Amino acid sequence: MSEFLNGNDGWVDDPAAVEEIMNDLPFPVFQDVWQPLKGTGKGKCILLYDFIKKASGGKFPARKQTIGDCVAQGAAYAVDAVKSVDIILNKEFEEWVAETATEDIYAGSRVQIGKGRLRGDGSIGAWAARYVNEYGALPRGKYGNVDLTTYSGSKARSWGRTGAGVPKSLIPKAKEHPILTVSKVTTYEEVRDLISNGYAVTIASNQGFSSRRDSEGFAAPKGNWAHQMSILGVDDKHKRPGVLVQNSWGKWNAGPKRHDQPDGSFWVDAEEIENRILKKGDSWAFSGYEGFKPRKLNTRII
Amino acid sequence: MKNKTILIVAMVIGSVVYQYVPATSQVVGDDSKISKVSDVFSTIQSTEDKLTIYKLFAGSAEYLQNCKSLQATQQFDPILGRVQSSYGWNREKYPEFTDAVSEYLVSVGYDEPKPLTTDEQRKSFSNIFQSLAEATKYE
Repeated sequence: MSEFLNGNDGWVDDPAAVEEIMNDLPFPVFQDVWQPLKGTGKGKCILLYDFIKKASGGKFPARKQTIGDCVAQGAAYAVDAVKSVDIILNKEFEEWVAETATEDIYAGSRVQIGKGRLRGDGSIGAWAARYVNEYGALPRGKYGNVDLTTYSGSKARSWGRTGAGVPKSLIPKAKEHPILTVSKVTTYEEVRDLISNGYAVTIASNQGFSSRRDSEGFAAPKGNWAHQMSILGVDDKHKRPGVLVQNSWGKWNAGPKRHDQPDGSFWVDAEEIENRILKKGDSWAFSGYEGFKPRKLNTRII
Repeated sequence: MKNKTILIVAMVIGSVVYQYVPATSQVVGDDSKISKVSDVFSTIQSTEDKLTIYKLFAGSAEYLQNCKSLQATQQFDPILGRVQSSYGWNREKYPEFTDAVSEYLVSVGYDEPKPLTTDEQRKSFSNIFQSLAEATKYE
């Protein structure tokens, strides 16, 4: 058990629940639609966190979960990445607004999708993927009498209780902003090609990692975390091909960095990510976010 | 910071251009609105403030014509705001003038966010400020 956990993980390993979700998706497995993208990420270094930094005006979300809502935290980072890619890379005429809220994703995954069957904290990667695909994701802000401006673990826990769920008033607003497609990924090469094409990936497993990065920014597998995180970069041209994993525990780790990576992140070798995490079967690619059109400009400029 | 520096340099260039080069007409949109800007501007007593206003508009036009880092019109206002602060300029110092400029900007569609990804789009956005510079030349 890591000294960092203290209940701050929260992924529930339930292959049957994942299978159930996959039955409802048009492209449940990325491998089925991989062919057009296959090999396009080979030898590339793509840093999705740079797109987030740019789209947010330098305000990269520093997420620090206080309950076992890691599934929502990882999904929210993936939504942040996809919406930034839409703005910066795809030049869609949308604006950042704010980092993605987690309370609604957490509660929605457990209640609207999972039907309230889980007791205690936690959720399933497939449920969060399904929730943001079917119900959408919102940036932090006020929505009528619902205040999502600042992260609240207790609000997430309260909404995530059996019989509660995302407030009804929030659902129509969220549904205007879905993630357009979600598909399960199982190999490093899929992840490499997806990230290189502006998709983001959530990863979930029982694999933990060292809190000390090595001289090249990598963290060695260590311990057990029932945890979801997000992949926000891939470097396939480095002598050690791998992915950049973003955690949601604030500044929990230390050691050398590469490519100006964000606090709380670490690189993972390609072989390790595939064998220890992706093969677990609850890692998801997100693509395309129905974003926010810019508001009117202030004309009182002088 | 880089954007702000470029805009300040553009304003200095704008002020030099103001002194030595006869301007060509770049009026966009409603003539009565831009005339009103000119009329209200002429009621401002402070020569120093008049020159600052002109520099802000002329510099903005110059900057927007050439700056390729902005992707959309809504990214410009925060930069303008920071430059105004560095000049010690407070918005709404002359409320009637602010009203006139605002009415003009609405008349030319400034308030609707637009992309700034082509030279044509940049020129069109720049022309709005060029017209304001023309209307606020102090002689």
